[in-house]
Amino acid sequence: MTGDLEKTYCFKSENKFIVKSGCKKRMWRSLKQILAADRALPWPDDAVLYYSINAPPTFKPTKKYSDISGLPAPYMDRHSKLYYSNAEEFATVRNLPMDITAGYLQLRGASTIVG
Amino acid sequence: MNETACYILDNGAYTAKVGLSSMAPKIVPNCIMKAKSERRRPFIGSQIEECRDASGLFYILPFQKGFLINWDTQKTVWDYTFSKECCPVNFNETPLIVTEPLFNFHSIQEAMTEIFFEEYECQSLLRINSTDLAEYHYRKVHKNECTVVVDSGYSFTYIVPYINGKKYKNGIRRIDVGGKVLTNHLKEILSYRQLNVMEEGYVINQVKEDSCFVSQDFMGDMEIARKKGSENTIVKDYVLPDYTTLRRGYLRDIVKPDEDLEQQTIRLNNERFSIPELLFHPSDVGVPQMGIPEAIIHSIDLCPEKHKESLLENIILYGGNALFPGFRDKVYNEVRAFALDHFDVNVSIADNPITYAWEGGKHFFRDPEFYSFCMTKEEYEEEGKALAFERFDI
Repeated sequence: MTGDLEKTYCFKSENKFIVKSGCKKRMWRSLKQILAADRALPWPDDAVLYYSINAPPTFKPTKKYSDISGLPAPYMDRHSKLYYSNAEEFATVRNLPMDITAGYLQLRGASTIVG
Repeated sequence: MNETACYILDNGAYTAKVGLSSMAPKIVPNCIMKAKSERRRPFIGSQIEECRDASGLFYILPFQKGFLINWDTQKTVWDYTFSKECCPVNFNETPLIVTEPLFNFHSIQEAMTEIFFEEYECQSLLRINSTDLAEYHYRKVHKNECTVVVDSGYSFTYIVPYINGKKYKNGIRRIDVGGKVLTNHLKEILSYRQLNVMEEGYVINQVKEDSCFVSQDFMGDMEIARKKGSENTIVKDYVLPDYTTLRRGYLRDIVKPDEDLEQQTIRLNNERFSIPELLFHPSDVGVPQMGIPEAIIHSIDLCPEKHKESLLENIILYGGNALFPGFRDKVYNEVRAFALDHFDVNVSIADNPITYAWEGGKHFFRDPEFYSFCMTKEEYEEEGKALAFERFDI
């Protein structure tokens, strides 16, 4: 757009996407900030929104797979909480250092402390 | 108004499907990529085809979790898309249909309207959900009343029931598993089990596309995958591209120990079907949600009783994940098992799952009432964004 064509619109407010802060670099608003702002808008009670369309938890039990090979795992190492499917894998599991076991747990989203 | 063609932009989080309705759509990666081999030059959209060495490719995506967040990046990609280099268009003469995710946030919708009217100076604009276009496409072909649209894309999988062409908002459900989760999970388990490929998202995405399939009998296939030697019909080797002699990897039978192969390979065994299985059991990666078939049934159960029969008979699957072989059959079998016996179940898959919504836009443009859904520049200048919210049902 050239300068003389520039129009001002009465319905236009300031740019909502740029974080106003002291630093010079322009920062885009993160998803979290947009989510919070959207939530704060005055919605009617029965409105269907981003949060309300989450699929609910499943009724089926989670299957257990060996963290080492991906095969169905009937066993869990009580020490590291890793799943394994046979004796061979158990030996491997027991020899893994802490950071690797933590990584494996993270992989299947089971790194919460509870449980 | 009597334009002969309109410009359709199905703006996905991973690829944008663009083109004039009179031509075939182009699939443009909706991102800027940086390669290790050519540090100076960013590759915008389809320019990646010119890149010689796509190893260690770094993506800059305008979308985060399925929503448009980074406008700088998006503007660069759009500028490229609308330029002569890719898919030129004159918005002064051509109406534009652009898609948005379901329940797009207010501030993002405002910015969309603004950028197209003020930056690109569109004459008439239609913002719409891609599922709406897909449903319109399906309804044009099948002449049915109610449809369940399953859009399994890059960030999310949406399940949207439509009753007489209107989406039934209380029945919409979202599963937080899409193609991105699958690629990342494959990348991670390969890195733990065999070879560190954490930097190679682009290549692993190709591995996923080339070798994964949806298992019809998961436990049976697991038993096969457990076997050794020739009894195991699932295990394959994937030859990784080296970008000198081989540009795209391929799947082959396992390399014999005495065979001499120049390229690196990755052995894929149960990974081939346990990755797409995440769409059916998100809880395997700690996402506490239902799988697709269960969520379809859940969503239909939320709809009014009298429409259930029609909804079950018209389930349409599209989006990139629908390309996995066996996807339709598995969804059908599981939905059939969940649904009551006296209902008919019919699950169909789009001919081209990626451009299905785009094609829907083409049909929609021919609708005699098309322009009543659009917003013109004059209307925008007069009434502003408030009218946009009123008119577009996002």
